[in-house]
Formats: sequence, C-alpha cells, structure tokens
Amino acid sequence: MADKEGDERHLIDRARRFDQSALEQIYITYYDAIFRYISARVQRYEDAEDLTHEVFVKMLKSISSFKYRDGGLKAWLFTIAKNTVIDYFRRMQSSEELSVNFRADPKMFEPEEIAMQRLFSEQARLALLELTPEQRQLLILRFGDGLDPSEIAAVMGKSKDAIYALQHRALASLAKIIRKLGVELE
Amino acid sequence: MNIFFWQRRNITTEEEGRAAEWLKQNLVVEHSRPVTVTPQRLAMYRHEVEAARQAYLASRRHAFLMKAVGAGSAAALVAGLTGTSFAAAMALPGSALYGLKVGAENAALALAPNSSIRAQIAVYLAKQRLSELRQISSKNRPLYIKGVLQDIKTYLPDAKSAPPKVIKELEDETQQLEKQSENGRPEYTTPSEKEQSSSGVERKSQTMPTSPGEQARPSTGEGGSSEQLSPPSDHSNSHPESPQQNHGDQDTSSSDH
Repeated sequence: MADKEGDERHLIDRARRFDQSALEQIYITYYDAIFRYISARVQRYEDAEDLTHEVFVKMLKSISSFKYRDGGLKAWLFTIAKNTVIDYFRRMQSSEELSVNFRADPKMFEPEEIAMQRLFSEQARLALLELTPEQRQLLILRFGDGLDPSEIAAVMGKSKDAIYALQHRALASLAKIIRKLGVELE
Repeated sequence: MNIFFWQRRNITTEEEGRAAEWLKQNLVVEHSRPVTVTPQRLAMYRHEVEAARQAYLASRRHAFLMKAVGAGSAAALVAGLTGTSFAAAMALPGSALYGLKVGAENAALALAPNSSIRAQIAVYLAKQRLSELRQISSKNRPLYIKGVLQDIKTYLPDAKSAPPKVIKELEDETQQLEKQSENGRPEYTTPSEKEQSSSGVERKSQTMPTSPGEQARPSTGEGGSSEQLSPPSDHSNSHPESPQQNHGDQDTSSSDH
C-alpha cells in the first residue's frame, strides 16, 4: 500500500514537470475507469469519449498545482469527471438536444441520478430511490463505479470516517428497503 | 437520527453485506463497445500534453524573469528570455552566431511584459552592443560597426523610461562612435574611460582603420604609438584581419553601403 502510494506520488511529481511518459501512464491507467464513470451518466458513446478527453485536458491544466490527498490521483480525476459531467448537462440544458422531460426536472441533471437510471436494474432503482440523495450517491459510486471509500471521500468532499459511517447507514437502510420490497436475500 | 437507530436495531452486519451483494448483482452493464484508448485518442492527448508542456515552460520562464526583474538583473532577464547557448551569447559582430544572438535578444525585448522591463532590457542590450563594438574595434569591420550602431539606435526609444543619466550616456557614446565611424576612425572610449584619460591615466587606445588620406587626430591617450589612432594612409592600413589591406576601409565601406 505504502509502495503503491509512493509510486503514485513519484508519478505525480514527474507529471507535474510535464514528463510525457508519466502523463501517458496516467492516461492509459485511468482512461477506462473515467470513461465508464462518464458513460454511465451520458447517453451518447461519442459524448462520453469527448468528455473523457476533456477530463484529461483539465487534469493537464491543473496538475502542476495538484496536492496529494487521500484517494490520490484517481479520486482527483473522478472529481474532475463529476464536474465535467455537470458542466456537460448545463451546456445541454440550453441546447435543443436535451429532451423536454429532462429540462422539466432539474434533479435529472445530477450525475448520480442519471447513473442510477443507467447502471442498475429497475428493482435496484426503486430501492435506491428510497434512500437519501447522499446515501444514494455513495452507493452508486461504491458499487456502480467501483470507487473505494477514500476515493469516494474525495469525490464527495467528506472525510473517510464520515464515508464509512454513511455507507454503514446506507446499507442498513437498503437492507430494510429490500426486506420491505419482499426480495429474498441469499 | 431516530430513524437511523430504528433501522439499525433490526439490521445485522450480515444483512448489510447481503444488501451490498444484491446491489452489485443488480448492476446493468450497458457498454456494448470495448473501452480502449484508441491511437487517435492517444495522439490527441499527446498533442494536448505538448501544448500544456509549452505553456508550463513559458510560465516558468515568466516566473524566472519576474525573479530576475526583482533582482534587477537585465542580463538574467535576457538570458531567460532568449535561452541562447553560451557560444551564441558570446558571439561578436561578424561571427555566424551573432545574428542568432541579436535576433533572440530583440525577441526578448519584444516579449518584455511592461515598459519598465523593456527599458531595462533595452539599456542592457545597448550596453552589450557598445561592449561588442569595443571588442571588435581592433578589427577592420566598418560594415559591422555601422550595423551595430544602427541596432543601438533602435534600442534607445525602448529605453526612454530608464534613468535620464543612463540614456544620456548611451546617446552620447553612440553619437560619438557614429561620428568617428563616419570619419572612418572610430575611437572607442566609454565615458568612464574618457574620465580616466582626461585625468591623465595612461590608456592604450584601440584603433580602427580609417579612410585613406584622412588627417590624424591626437589620440586621447599617449600620443605617438603605432597602435593608437595614427593617421592611416593607403599604405598604413596593415591590420592583419583586414580583407583589403591596401585598398583602405573607405572603399570597403562605401561598396558595402
């Protein structure tokens, strides 16, 4: 773990000096995860590709001022991705491309709300809708996007301990909801 | 908070784990196409990396310049802006690298972020050119001298926000050299050297070949030395580097201009 963190810090140091191989390594390592996060929230494959590219361009613009925190580079990239998706929907809001239904319901612009529609089955969606927005966001990031607690902490702007507590409460609520829905848990 | 405790009362950790598993099983994977970094995407990214790298280097150069300005070092300023090699930086008029050096330095002047820095650079460059003139004064290069004098004159408008005393010194020295160059006998003395010579300090003046038939003028230092500004005639121009030793500089310069 310490080695991994040390390696990442070294990689970031090189990237801060715009070392081309370090920057390419970051791109190749995280492209897949960022693309999946974005494509779960954006309808078109091409838009997801463009937005993923935009995330890495934004990373280049601010890498020199990046300070290593819990969750590291991946969490930082996911935070950029989240903001990029929000910007995308804001841009879309003013264009004709967005459907009337989407424009009528501002809640639909929340990246995690959209991800819920795309990532989970109908039954899971119904269960998630019973949770608080914060609990829902956490479970989507944890089980839909596969982020670990420290990465979620960075994306949601909370401490790791707060995320553990929130996850505990969210899963307890979910188990209760599942029981209410009459789903048999194995 | 009450709801939370009510929920927790009935749910075990085991149940929480099963709820998490259930959520994972209810994931819908929608990506029909493979997620790979295509060569086109990578090429686009590399292009962005290069652009960002250039912007980063430019910002570092700017930070360095601001530091140099803070330290009052126009030389560091020009070195930072031009990034020319040591060989080019030491080049004198007539050498292959000189054009490169002056071009880069002039570009540095154009890049100066404000008039104060521009003035500092202009004064520094004017002094550099004068220093180069002194260094080549023993060589028979009237064409280069005229070119360098012209360069100095182009720096003076940019130097206008420098202290008046500094500008006056530069203007006086340039005018003096210009006159001497027109007469074909440039005598390279800085104001401080002038003061020294007028106070009786012995100075070994440097010579420049003069036009044929021109009258000798008394040199500022000790008179009579063959190395000083002796009146060169058609036959006296014997500088080893002179390309047309027996034709005099007047001919060379007039044909050049």
